[in-house]
Amino acid sequence: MGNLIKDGGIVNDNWQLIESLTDDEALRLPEGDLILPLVLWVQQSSLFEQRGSWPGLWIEGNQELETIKHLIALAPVIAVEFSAFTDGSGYSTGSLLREVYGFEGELRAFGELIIDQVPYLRRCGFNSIALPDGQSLEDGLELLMNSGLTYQGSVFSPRTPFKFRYSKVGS
Amino acid sequence: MYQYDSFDQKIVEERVKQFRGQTARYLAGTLSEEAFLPLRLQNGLYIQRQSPMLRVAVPYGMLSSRQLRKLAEITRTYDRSYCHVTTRQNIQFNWVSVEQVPEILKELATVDMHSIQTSGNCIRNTTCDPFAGVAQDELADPRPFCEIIRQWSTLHPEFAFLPRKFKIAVIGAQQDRASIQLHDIGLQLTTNKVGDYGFKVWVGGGLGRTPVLATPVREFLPQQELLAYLKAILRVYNRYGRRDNKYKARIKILVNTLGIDNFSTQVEEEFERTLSPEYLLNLEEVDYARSFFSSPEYEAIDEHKVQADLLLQGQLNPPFERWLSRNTHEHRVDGYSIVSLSLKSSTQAPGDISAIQLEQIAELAERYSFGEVRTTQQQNLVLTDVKQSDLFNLWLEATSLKLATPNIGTITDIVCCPGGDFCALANARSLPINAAIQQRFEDLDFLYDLGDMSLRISGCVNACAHHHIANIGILGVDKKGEEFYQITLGGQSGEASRLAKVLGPSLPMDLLPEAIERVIEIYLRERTDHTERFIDTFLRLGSRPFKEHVYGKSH
Repeated sequence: MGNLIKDGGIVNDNWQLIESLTDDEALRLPEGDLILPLVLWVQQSSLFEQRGSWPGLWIEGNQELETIKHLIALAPVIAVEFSAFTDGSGYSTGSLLREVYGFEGELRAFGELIIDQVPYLRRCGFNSIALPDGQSLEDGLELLMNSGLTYQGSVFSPRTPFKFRYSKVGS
Repeated sequence: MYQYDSFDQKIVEERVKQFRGQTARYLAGTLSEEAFLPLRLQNGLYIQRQSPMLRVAVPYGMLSSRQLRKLAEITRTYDRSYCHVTTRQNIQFNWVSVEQVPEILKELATVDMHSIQTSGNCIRNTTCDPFAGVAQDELADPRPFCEIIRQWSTLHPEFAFLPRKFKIAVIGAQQDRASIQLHDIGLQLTTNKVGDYGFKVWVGGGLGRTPVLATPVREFLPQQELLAYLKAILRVYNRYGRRDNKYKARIKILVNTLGIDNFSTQVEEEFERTLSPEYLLNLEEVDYARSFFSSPEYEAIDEHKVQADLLLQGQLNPPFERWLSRNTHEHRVDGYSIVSLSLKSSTQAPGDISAIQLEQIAELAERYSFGEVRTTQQQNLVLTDVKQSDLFNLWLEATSLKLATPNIGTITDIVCCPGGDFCALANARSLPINAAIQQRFEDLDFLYDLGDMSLRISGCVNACAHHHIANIGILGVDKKGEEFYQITLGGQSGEASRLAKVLGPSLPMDLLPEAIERVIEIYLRERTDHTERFIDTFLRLGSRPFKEHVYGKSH
């Protein structure tokens, strides 16, 4: 994917996104860290089991999670694809992965995103964000670093709006 | 009313800064039209037929005199010295320029106001009973919860790009003056058997192309669980709502497709599995929110003396008596009244309000009603706490400001969208229809005799004027490039909400006022006496006699 924003910095991405495999490749998977679409991931799972390391999992923004619960536990990276920047289903998917499925690996957002969405994505649990061509990672990172106060906190530490404010006024 | 603390102030200022950056990127060409669109919409900025329009949030309809003066100043500096009260209690500026919007937002931020999420596919401004806190039939004040929901929904990271817009309304009274059943989520404060406060929750209401009344999804939701439950509903909607067709993307379609039982099961499961203590409101923070809405210092008033004075003033001044009867409402405190200032007359578009009026209302509010006003879904303004001994003077002043038309709840209290004159979506103009009907029913004695009635005009099927819930609804349609109008009858809002039905074929503009007059003729002929309201006559007789009189027997 080239560079991406990860954990508060811009890093070179060493994961390779594999959209499909030729028959030949399927017999001998490329080396390195791979992220595979759900279907391929399942198809190739025995190979990876032999290798003893699991690939990253590529899912759609609105992927049903209950049915892939067992995979979530194995995947080192889950990459959620945003098919359009106006399709916000992935925000809930990310939140659920952290909040309900206890996913602690790299949670990546990629697809048709714009820089203005970076802070929202972070607060929904995505710790790595790949932006499409034309969207500046530096600008996205700056927005992330300068994003200020919020009423809700994040999926990691949610709060109600008045949580830390009501005690200040001795009403 | 709620006052920003430094936290709120900072959030709004940061948002202004962010939008300034987005606008600059757009104007410089580094942010595409396509990407700017949802960002500007989430800041209430529309590109309209003649000029960009900016919609400003009026949280649950509350405005202070200070805010009214700032709005007046903004209309003078950046607009054409007037603005518009919308059917969702917000304020719109119709003639702004894109370049100046960041400046306007900065001005608004100085008086605790913003335009965040007044449009776009996100959680919109929370609406409320305009009589909240002063209604006689109120169990508890909904405004503290409206404020909590306002904050919770503002820039919520998970729900900023929903399938479609999302509207929440809250009431605390028996009578539903906020039409909660027409909202994506409707909340009514209630108590359980042991007297704890909570909410009855409705889901899946909405108008537009497919009007649907909301369905109860929870009979009692403890108040502490409010935000956790809203999150569960929104999350189910965000995951499963349709995104392939914008006309099928509202939550009402999802509820309909799944069925309320299935939908409810999914929400409850989501609620259960993510119910951690961090999402629960504690009672101290609810009390803290409530502290902003404590009662003003009412005077002890000799109710009998005031009533006797009013009676006499009314007898001497029949126009005052008519105004008292139509434009004032019972207050929970003896000796006080709730007063509606009518923004409907034959010389203005419904809901329009001039800079001068804004400033003078600010002054009236300060002198007569603790410096606060409310906007209503019927596009009027309300002074909630007027001493009855002040009513006569207030009436005199409001009359000179053209804010005292005694037509609240009558056929000329017309709710109307801007229509084809302004809106790029409209199929037909709605303002000329409003003017024609206003003129036909200008006689105040006649209007008074007609009594309670609602009439709403939408310029297209998006139904911004909510014509489906009017006793008489008018919908603009396009027939081969010509403006035609459909009449619907029998709608009702409030706790007896009911959707209207189409009366017959649509009519051209020049025949419409006559047709409305014919509908009224049947009512006057058929009502049992003047106490039978239009809607009751209609429900008793059905649409047939109305249809025959409008279209002739051959239809």
